[in-house]
Amino acid sequence: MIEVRNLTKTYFVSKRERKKNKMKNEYVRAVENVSFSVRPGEIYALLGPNGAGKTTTLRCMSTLIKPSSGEIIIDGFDVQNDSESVRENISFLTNELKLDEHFSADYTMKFFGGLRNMLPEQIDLRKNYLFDIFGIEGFKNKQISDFSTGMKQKLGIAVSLLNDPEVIIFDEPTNGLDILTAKTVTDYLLDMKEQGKTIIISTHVMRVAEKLSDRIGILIGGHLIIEGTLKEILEKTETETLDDAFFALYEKFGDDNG
Amino acid sequence: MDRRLLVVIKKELMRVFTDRRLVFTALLLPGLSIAVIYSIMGMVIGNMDDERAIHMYEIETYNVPSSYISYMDESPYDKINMHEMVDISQLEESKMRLTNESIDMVLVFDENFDQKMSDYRINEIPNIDTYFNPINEYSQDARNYIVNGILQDYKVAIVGERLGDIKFTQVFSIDIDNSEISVASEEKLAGTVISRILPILISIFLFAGAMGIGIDMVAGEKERGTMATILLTPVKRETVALGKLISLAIVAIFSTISSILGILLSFPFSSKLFGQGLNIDKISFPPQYILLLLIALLILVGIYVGLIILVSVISRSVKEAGTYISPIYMVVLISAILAVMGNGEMNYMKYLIPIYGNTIIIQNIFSLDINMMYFLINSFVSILVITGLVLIIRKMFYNEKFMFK
Ligand SMILES: Nc1ncnc2c1ncn2[C@@H]1O[C@H](COP(=O)(O)OP(=O)(O)OP(=O)(O)O)[C@@H](O)[C@H]1O
Ligand SMILES: [Mg+2]
Repeated sequence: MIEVRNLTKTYFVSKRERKKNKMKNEYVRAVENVSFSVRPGEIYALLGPNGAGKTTTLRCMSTLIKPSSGEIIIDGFDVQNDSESVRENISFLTNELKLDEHFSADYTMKFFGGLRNMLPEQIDLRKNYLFDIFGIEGFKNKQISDFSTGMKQKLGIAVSLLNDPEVIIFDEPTNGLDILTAKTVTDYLLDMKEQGKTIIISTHVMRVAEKLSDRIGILIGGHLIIEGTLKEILEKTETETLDDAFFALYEKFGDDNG
Repeated sequence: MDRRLLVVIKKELMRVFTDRRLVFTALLLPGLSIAVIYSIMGMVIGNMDDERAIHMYEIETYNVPSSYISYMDESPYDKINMHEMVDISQLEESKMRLTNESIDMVLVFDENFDQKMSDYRINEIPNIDTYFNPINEYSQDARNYIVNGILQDYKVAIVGERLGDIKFTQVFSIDIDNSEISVASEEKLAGTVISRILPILISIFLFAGAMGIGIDMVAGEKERGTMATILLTPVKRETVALGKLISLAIVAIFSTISSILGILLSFPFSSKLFGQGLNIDKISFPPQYILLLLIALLILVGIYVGLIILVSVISRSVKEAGTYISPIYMVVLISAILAVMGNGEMNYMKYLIPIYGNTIIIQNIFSLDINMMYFLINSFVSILVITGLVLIIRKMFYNEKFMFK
């Protein structure tokens, strides 16, 4: 269970950054007053254009960054006050997370298992299972630097799922993957949903949201404009397709972004 | 202790010690280059000394008196090749030869030198003009050898003749039965020579050894995006910070051991660099000093590692960290230089200065001459500094501005 209540995140921009990127404001309000919840056994998709605040919202959930105000409760743990327990219970994945390419896939799993305080037997069990699903078994003793880009991403996913978490948070889960790898990942997510896990993904691709998710929240300019099942959204916006619904909403709300 | 701290330390050490490039550049290279550089320096200086010891002085003489020739025939001075010149008009050419270093000295005796000496009661005493070339080391040696050695003894021999017996010239003796001329015990003597150089080398090696790897440990991981992956596990951020500090300290110690092994390896050739006749077998180090030395070294490592990781944390890239670390390295070098030049005057103020004071403490320990009060003052200040550094680093690890791009 994920509960987001009145989440606001403001980034302060240093003078140097402002000069470099020719920005006027001292701060960027990336997310403002966003509330929603994700229930066990469902996949929730945060849909929005570039810069809408999707990554920011998910990063606040992951405890990597702190909310400026509002709260996020994950399986009963507050991301601010109980960040270690939150991380204990989630799997967070984005493209920006990288693994040290000096090590082998095998050692990498052992290392992250160790950081998760797992017993060696537990690590081995989980490692074999994930290597099998993602087709890493044959490469496990190779250095990661010798992996293809797709293999590296799959290993990254395996590392993030090591702890068999109840809550899965994926930022752009299929971004940059070829269709075969993307299918492995989406199949896995659907499988996890069947097992009753709580799953949230972000995407700017309508088709991914349509195919994968049970409910969709549309984020524009840091505001959650609308949320519901695909059917509910189409009804509320009086449109036929998610694309049309999105354009209609963007026309109405897209200008007041910060 | 948190088991995860060990996991972090193990990973950091594996990262360094299983990387052939890092093992070579951070651990083997310092020791090897020091062994080679010191051996070469030692051999060059050693050769120069050996050559000076066997060099024959080429001297040209004018109007040389027969008393001098007969004196030299019987004297123990055997490092002279004497060339008798016949015509005083050649003196300018002799000086030219001095300038271009083909001879080492020119002696011009007054004409009728022997005659004038025996007429000393009625006449002026005779004179010897000496010419040498101060730029040429052999010429300097020759002047010292001749003016302070040969000519003094030659004078005494002549006085002896005047008095009727050479024995009458003996007034007193110096150190005739004294086998213990130097009162410094040999181990302490060795201590002072080593104590001047080794502590500053250790101080520099410790910093230089940790610098490259330390700036990569945090800044590099942030830059490559691997830091966030680690911080997403339930491990506490301070555990990651502490693990990195401890691993870097271990790497610094290994790198320094390598450098010191390099010095020891070069010793057969380089012992002259560390002082004449230094005998490493004679240096005995009492156990309590070894303990003090270990404490002092660990404290210095703590300061260095804290500073390096701090720089690594505030930098966004390895390149930026490299820029920030250089002024700190300068401070380490300058502290080391000031410590060697120090006059040994006991003033507690200098023990309050981190790095500089620590280097002096290590110097004091090496010379077996340490004031426990100063040791405690310095340790106390240093531990405060280390604690401060660790607290700042910890705080920064929790600050998203420093930990994410
Ligand atoms: N560290 C930061 N400092 C300052 N501003 C930031 C920072 N990170 C993000 N922003 C700004 O916050 C806003 C939201 O960014 P965010 O990355 O959350 O968007 P997104 O929806 O994930 O976009 P995308 O589809 O491009 O990934 C953007 O305007 C972005 O420029
Ligand atoms: Mg994003």
